[in-house]
Amino acid sequence: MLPRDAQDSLDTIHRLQDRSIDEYVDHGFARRYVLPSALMVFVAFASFDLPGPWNTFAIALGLGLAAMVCVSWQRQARVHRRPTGLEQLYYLGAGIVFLVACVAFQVAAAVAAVKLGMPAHHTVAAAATALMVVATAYPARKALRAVARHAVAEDADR
Amino acid sequence: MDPDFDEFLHVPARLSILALLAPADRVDFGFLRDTIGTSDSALSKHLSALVSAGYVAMSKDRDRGVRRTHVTLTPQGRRAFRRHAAALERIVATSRLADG
Repeated sequence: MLPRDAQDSLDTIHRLQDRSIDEYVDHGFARRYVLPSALMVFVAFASFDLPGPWNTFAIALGLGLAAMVCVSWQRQARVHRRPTGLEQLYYLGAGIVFLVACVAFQVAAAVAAVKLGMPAHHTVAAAATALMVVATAYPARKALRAVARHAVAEDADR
Repeated sequence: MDPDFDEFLHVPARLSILALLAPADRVDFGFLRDTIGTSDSALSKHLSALVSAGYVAMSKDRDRGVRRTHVTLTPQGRRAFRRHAAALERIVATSRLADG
């Protein structure tokens, strides 16, 4: 085994490991999952403006959509990976950022409703939150790719 | 030759399969075939050899009538892959030391 051949094999290993990570990340952030997720967020938060029993119906619709997206995502994934410590931190951080943004949009819309008389302020906040989900999908995908690649490299060094 | 260097694993297609499986829990047969750029039969042959060696495990299920095959790296396969990659790194490092 020549050192040059060994280096070529190592380069191939790293390239293919990155390919698996890319498939896992790209599948998770595919448009066919991001857009229904944004719609689900919009329906669930906008339901607060609806009178009963329509608000319950809208929440059930949002949860049903979420379940369908999850099942489809799981079934169609070509690469399945259990998140490691670093990736779990990423998901936790993303969840916290999402919740903070939700609350911030709801508070801003409530203030606008009181001061400017804006109608259906939950719907406006829901639309802003859904747009944020779509707008942050690309940077979130880049961040997850970097985190997952780092986790794989760390795992290999162990 | 480094004692951890695994001749069986160093066959390019087998090494590629293990490299693709290493970061994952479970990988679809079609993903392996498309990424490596091989045929179903050639991939099946390499996978059978890896299964016989205890390095990978295969499972099948049906999704809307379509049969799907999933491939998993076994703990033994993961250890063998790590040892082999470490051996390759030592070969490269030794050569760098000799050159330097």
